[in-house]
Amino acid sequence: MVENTAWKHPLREKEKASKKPRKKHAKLRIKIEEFALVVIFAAIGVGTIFFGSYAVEKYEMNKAEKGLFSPNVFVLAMRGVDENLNFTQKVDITKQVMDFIRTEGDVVVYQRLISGSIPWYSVAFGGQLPTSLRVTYGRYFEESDFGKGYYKCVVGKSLLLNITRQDGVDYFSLGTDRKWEVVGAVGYPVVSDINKTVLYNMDGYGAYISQSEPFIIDFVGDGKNDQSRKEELKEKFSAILTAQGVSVVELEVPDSVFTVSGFFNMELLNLIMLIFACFCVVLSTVPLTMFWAERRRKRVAVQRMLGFSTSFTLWRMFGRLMILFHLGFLISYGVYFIIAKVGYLNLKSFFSPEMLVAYLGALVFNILIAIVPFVQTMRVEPGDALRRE
Amino acid sequence: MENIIELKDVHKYYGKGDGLVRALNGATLDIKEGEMCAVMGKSGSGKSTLLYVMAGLNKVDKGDYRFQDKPVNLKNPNALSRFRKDNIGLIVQNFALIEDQTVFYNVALPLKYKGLSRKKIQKRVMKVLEMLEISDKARNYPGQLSGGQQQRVSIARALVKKAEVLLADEPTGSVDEATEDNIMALFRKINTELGKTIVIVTHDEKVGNLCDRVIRLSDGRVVNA
Repeated sequence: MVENTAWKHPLREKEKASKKPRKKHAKLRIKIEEFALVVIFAAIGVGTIFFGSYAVEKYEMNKAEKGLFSPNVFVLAMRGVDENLNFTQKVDITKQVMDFIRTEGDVVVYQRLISGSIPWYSVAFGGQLPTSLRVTYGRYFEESDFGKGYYKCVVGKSLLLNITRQDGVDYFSLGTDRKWEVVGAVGYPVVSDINKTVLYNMDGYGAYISQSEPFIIDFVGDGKNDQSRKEELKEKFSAILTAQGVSVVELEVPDSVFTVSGFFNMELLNLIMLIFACFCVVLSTVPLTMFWAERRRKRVAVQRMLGFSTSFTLWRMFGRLMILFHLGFLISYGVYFIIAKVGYLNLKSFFSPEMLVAYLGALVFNILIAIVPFVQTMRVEPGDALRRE
Repeated sequence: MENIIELKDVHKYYGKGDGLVRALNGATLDIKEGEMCAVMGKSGSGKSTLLYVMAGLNKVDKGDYRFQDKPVNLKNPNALSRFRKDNIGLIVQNFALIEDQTVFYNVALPLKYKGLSRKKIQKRVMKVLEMLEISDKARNYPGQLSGGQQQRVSIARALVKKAEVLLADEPTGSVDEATEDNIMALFRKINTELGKTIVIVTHDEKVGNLCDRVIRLSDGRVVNA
């Protein structure tokens, strides 16, 4: 009798020994699955935040480019009489330009100097003064800044570090004796060439742009391609220039200064993160979501067996997925925040357009990848719970 | 006692053409309120299909089903879901428990769907678990329980929603003989103390003998009710 109780069936003992760890492992696996989903959703979030940032930046750049790159802009440059660049004669046509602006009414003229002395002019028409630039400090030009021999300028916000203060007044210098009083700074929160632009007041109703700085002009026009008006203005302005005894050439206006390849070349970190995000999304997200849904299949079958309606079951599943997604998105925002702090990136506030674009992008993406598992779930029959595994 | 379940000329087919299987071929039976009966028959006689029709899990091709003297819509899946939710407690051979959730969660699941408060759910679940003597297992996972204990959880889940009828498909099929006796004693206790109607599908004559009545099926027809 004693021997009987002492004897243990080896197979049953083996089963007992293997039972507990196996179940623990099963419990752990569920957590890993869901954690993996959160990580993947975080990766999607990071990817879409970068895409969102890119999309908004591109949008704002396009908006900024409306001046020079809009159809309602042409650029005329002075040349020597033989059309060479050896133009040395100093030309002051401020009065003529001012008259031209006043006569035409809807025109803004920006003067730019090549090599410090060769002027060329960007003429924008059919709009207003460039007031849509976001003023980040001080103010934009006022009418009183013109026509009184003042030397004032508005700098791009990236150049604020280069200004000097004297007697409570900020000055910007080109490195010569001439100092320009800084009345304000303009720019965009994103990385933009316009943030490095300086607008000086020429002694007229307009401004000219430094020769050494990018020449993006924000010109608020209606965007209509009024070719006849353009030709008319081109003819009139050419007449003003040629009256100075110079030759005039029209400069080519490029389609855009912003290119995707440029974006990728400049932002190596973005490229790496995008590749990482795409890699994660393509290789992991869909199978993992389906695997997650498959794991929930038994649960759904039991719920259906108990009388849960399809819609109730799906809403619970959707809610669970959304919780995981939002958790992942918050993590991704944290990752993005850290990257932005240590890297060359512009981070907007949480409620910025970038975040909205990124959030909506990630949300749509996650809903799209959830469609297949959800359809599978809808097909789960209550009888599936009765099947022996 | 009044009839709680009435099936009349119920037909249920699987497959098409040459592969057509007549799982139920004109089954007719009545089950009285408070009765504990067994459905028996050879393998393939249609006893599980009959149970699933009674549970509202299966749509039928032909026939009428009345529950508490009211017709059950056997064509509409949503109506069947509501019917299952309100009236049927189902106990199956594989227990149909959610493995990665605790015993408490599994038992509480039907009540969550009914929208009961957390406090009420806690109270009702613990009461049922205590009655089935597994209240100490509330925080355990199904995988940590024996077959008999898992079946008790399954019974608790059926009882907690206060369904009038408990339908059990081979409830003793996965347990040893001692546990089988315990489970049958438990069914008898539920039947006598709570007055629940219990229908058990089994191929075990011993289980059949412990019930008030045995309904025998052959080729999808009730041959002895």
